[in-house]
Amino acid sequence: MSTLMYQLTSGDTIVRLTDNAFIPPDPGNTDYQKYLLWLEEGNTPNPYVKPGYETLSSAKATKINEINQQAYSRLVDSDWMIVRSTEIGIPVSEEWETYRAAIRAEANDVVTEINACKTVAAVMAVSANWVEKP
Amino acid sequence: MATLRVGTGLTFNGVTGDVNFTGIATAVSFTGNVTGDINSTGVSTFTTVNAASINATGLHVTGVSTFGNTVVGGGTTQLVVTGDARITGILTIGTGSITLDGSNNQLKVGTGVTITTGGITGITSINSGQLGGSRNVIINGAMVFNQRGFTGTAGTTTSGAYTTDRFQIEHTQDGAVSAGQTTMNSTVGGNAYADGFNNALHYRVTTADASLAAGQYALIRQKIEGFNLQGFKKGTANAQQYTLSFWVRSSLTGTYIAELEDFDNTRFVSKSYTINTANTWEKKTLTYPADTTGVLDNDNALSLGVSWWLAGGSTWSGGTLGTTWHTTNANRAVGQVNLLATVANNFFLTGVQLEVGPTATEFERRSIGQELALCQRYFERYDAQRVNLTTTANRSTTETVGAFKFFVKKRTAPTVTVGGDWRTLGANLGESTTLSIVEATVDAMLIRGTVASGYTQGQANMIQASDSFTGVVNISAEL
Repeated sequence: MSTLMYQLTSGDTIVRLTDNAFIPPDPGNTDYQKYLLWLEEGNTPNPYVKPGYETLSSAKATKINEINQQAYSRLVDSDWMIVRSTEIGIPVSEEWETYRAAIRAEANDVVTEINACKTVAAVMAVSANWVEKP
Repeated sequence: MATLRVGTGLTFNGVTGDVNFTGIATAVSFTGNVTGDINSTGVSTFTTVNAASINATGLHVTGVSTFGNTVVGGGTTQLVVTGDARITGILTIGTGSITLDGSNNQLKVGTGVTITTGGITGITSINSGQLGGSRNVIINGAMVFNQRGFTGTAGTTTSGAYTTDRFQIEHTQDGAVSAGQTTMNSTVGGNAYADGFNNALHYRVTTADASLAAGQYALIRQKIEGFNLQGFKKGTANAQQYTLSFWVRSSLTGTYIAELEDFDNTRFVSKSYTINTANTWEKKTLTYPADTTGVLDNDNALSLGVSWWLAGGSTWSGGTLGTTWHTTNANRAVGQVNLLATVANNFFLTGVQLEVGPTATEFERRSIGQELALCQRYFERYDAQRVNLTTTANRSTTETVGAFKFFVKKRTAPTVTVGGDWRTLGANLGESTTLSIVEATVDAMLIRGTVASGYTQGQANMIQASDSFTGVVNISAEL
């Protein structure tokens, strides 16, 4: 068995794990030629792993971060309404209050779901169902 | 008895003394032996001179003399002129192949080449190769460029790794070696430095292997792509010779082997050279025969390797040195000393030139920019600076992507290695960023920066090295 090891990526390039070199699938590239020989020897590259999803704990942390970022980007557009309400007393409309509450609730539910996952694949499969903006 | 006959010609036999003509001397033929001088002060015309020998101490003609069908000499030296000679007309050598025309300041060689005071016309080659330009198919032969940064004291140790640009080391052995660039001075560089070489590849043994197994070996090599080798016309009826010249120095004297390897057809040819004096720069010139077998492919792939053997077990040295093109591994490094035998043995190399034909010409000195561009077709290094590596667009909260155009178009889509610390600047200040390569072509690559969170989709960013300035990108399309 060869000491070389490779990993697939989200694109066409292959990563040589001994030095983290990115190898394009060009027949003239001597490193790619070696990779093809390695495959012919019966070896199999490691599957693609999205950055941050290398372990279950890192996958959960990464996914929770992603969900919180998604929630934040949905709330930030209406933060000014909260500031205006606080500073000069103009109330936030009910539909916007409902929307913001739904975003926070969905984020919390999804985080709970993520924390209950037992595998990286399960974590990656989790997604949020965000309500539409008013 | 001497014979003198005047009649249908002048006949002298055994005349001892001078023959003097004070008036006009005309003879249809002149036959005989004269041991004195032949002096003519008038106009002399000899249609033929058939003397078996004129042993006169001198032939003195002060007037206008005409000798028809005159044969000079008969030995290997047909005509010797000591002192000045002048021909005011056209001197023809042979049967018209070479003419010297003093009146018109012109030398003609056959019907093809004419040399005048204004230049040379009709010339088709020098030393059977091209007239000028890039005669040297070796890149970075003066070891000027060292993009990977390996030095003589901190060199690369890995078999297959490149040291100074375009030169790699290769070995399988039980010892250890190191190779990198050394800067020369008058002490280190000696005659090579005096010849204008300021850098050398420095190869040294750090762990000895005094007893090589059969298949073990060590060498320095430059690999050359087929596009750059077509002038050798290998594998054709017009195949040309190869001449390799280089400066070399080693702590170990003895026989060394320099080899050409045809990777397209698995054929080899070797020449030996001797390092005569330890730790002294010596210039070597080796001419290899033409090979009418095995065409070198006209493409961007590996076709020819030039190797300096430094050690070779019996697999490579068990036969008879193959000084003509062959296919036998055992004939490749016969007689090669074992440089690996002793720790601290060293080998220096610079001034490498491989050219068409049987003659080593002066080392071809290219401009610094031209040489760098030739190197960068195979390897390019981006060192961390405050200048941005690239500008990017955020694809998501964790990913930003941008293109980096190579300085020089690559031989093939390159392998890219990213090292050190990087960050994203712009809408997201100072985010520590992990770089990866989405795609690479011969012209450019698509770089992806990844962070845990914080990007705003659709906004722009820049990727640059962190303040530690350790970030580096190696782009390799080596053979």
